[in-house]
Amino acid sequence: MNRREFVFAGLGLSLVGLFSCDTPLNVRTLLLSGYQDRFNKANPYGIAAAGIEGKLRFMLPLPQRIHQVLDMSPLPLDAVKPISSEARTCLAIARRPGTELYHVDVERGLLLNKIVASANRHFFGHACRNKDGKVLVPQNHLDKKAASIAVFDPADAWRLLEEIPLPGIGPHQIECLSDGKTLVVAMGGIHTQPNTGRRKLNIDTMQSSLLYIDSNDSKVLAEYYPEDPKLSLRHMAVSRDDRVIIAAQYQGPSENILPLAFSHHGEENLLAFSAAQEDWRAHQQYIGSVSVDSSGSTVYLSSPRAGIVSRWNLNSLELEESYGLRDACGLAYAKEQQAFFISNGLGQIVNVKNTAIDQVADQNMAQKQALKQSQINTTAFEKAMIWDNHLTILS
Amino acid sequence: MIFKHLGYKTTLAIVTVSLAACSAKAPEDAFIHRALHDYILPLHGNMAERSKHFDEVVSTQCSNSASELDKTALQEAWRLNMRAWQQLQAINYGPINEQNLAWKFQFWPDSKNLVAKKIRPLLAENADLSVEKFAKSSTVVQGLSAAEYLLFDPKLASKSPSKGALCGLLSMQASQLKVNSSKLLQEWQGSYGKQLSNYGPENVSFPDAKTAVAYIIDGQLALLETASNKKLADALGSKRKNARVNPYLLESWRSQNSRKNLLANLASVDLLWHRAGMKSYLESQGAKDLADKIEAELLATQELLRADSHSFFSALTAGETDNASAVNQSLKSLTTLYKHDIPAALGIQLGFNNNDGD
Repeated sequence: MNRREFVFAGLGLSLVGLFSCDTPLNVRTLLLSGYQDRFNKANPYGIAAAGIEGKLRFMLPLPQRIHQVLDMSPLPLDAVKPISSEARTCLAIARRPGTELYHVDVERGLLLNKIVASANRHFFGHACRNKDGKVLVPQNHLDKKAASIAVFDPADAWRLLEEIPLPGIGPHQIECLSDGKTLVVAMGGIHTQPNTGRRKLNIDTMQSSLLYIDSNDSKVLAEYYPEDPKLSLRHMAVSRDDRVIIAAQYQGPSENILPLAFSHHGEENLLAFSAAQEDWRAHQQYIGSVSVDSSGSTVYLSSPRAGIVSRWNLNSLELEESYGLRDACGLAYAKEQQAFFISNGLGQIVNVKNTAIDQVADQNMAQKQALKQSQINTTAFEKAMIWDNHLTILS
Repeated sequence: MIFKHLGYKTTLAIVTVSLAACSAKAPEDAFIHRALHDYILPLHGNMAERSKHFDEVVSTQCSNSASELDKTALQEAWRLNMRAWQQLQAINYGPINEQNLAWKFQFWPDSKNLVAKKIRPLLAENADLSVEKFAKSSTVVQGLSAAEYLLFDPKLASKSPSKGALCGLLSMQASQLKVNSSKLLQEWQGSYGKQLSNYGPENVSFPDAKTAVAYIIDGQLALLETASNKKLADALGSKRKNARVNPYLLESWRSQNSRKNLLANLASVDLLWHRAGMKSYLESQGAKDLADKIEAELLATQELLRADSHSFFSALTAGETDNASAVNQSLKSLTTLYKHDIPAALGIQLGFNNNDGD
């Protein structure tokens, strides 16, 4: 047995002890994420899948570092065909300045296709899939200061169908809304070029925005700006009724404390989440990921720099609770389990049941703390695995 | 392409191997134990004591019949409390992080002079500030920076605010410091200390010994990074082109305590290094050369700080930046050793996503 085999066998062991006996081990739900293998300096990057019970299903080394993993399960339109478990696939998207997408069979951990960006383009690590099954990937143009959305057709050998031009620079996450045509793009507003690494080239003049685009005719439907142009809108979660929750990373002075999350559902402005200055300060100007539950009532934000995740009420937009978890970033909601899953750079995946503990009186902090701790449960822990920023659930 | 699917037999085989391994304590165990008992708990105990003492001095001063406060006694108690806080800053994990309490102990940096702007209205004759309101008020008016303004600010002193106005705020600040530091101590003595000691896969905060070590060392790094990137660098103007020296950006310019703050920071690093066994732990992991390097750099920085008896505020105000620049450079070198060399030597991860920028 070589070192790698031992490491993963060890993971299998640790998970045997971590789950109660009533956890069914044949559940289909998978947790997927990009990773970095701490012990493999030569070939560190890839994607890995764990079952919802925590058992590692596969790890697939890949040449470029992965950011988001996109669910490519058969769409409802395909439901006329019998859905076998073998049919499930995902798309791993390289983060900037990566140039590759990897289509992966998640049942067998096999690379099916590698899709390479056009000349003078690189991806930003995010993509979405529309109702027709087309995959839309924000990309940077290296030959000019511009950005666009590459539209690929997986059903036609991943042919590049078109490039939808974007009016700004530095797009980050993209989401496809349920009408099948509207795209929402978090325009981070930060200009980078591979020849200067990941250095931010335009902080003094940057302008972030939230952009809605009609993918049928490439027209900009609406654009919304945060109060401070240096509030870089980066990540999003979309509720089932197309409410967009946006998370930001602030590029201004460390003393400027601003709301870092917003909601938008057709209003004239982005609606800022509400919390005391101290609570925003605790997030250290940086939200790494955002997730919403299936009922559209609870949102989680992760703040890896601060080592906290926070829970918010989406109806009131108010902060409910913060949890300490070192280097936590990946967030995903599992509807069947009614739990949020959180991954971090230490190899942990934990879960938090989606229930409120507000019944405990404020003055009983000790009891509240104990309840909070008991709510967080370990799903998986593997020392070798540095989970990357985003976590995806395949039901 | 590699695909590893874990078979039943493989898992069983490893159960035997790993259970045997579990019976031996990790080499990190002794260090974690000493860090808790010789460092974390004593520093929290010291903070609770110093905060209690400050609160007692405030109570005594504010309840006596003298028409004016004895600022010297109050200032001395504040300095002792500040020294305890500066040492505690390296423990930025656990209840202080989860309950977001750090800012309630000290609001800083404050380049917009918010402390003065927010406190001045509260000193007005008709200011209505109940204990409840104070507890819910901005952290700007709470904690040690706010108390420093009341006790040391030269402009405020020239306006001779009444004893009643000063005592109203000071009493609430000192009382809150006492309550919060006592709460932190209790939590470390109770559940959080147990969590740190009982690391293991089901322990969400400390899933293994190396993670526990990483928490402890990351706290040291955070302290050193703040010391080297903020405490002197901003005042020296060394972070931006064409920036001027500005002594008002020093951490405790009002009390001229900034040099003592840094000495307290390094005393804390020194305490973990020597008394709590970090040096011997590093040496036991085959990193004696690195341990020697850190020891030398730590000592050199402390000597540089002690080499000049002037406060940084008076030196920078007089345009003398040599000692401050040398201290800052030395702090940077020490920080680099903690940031890169120690994690490499110990095989620990000091943050991945938190340095990501995406």
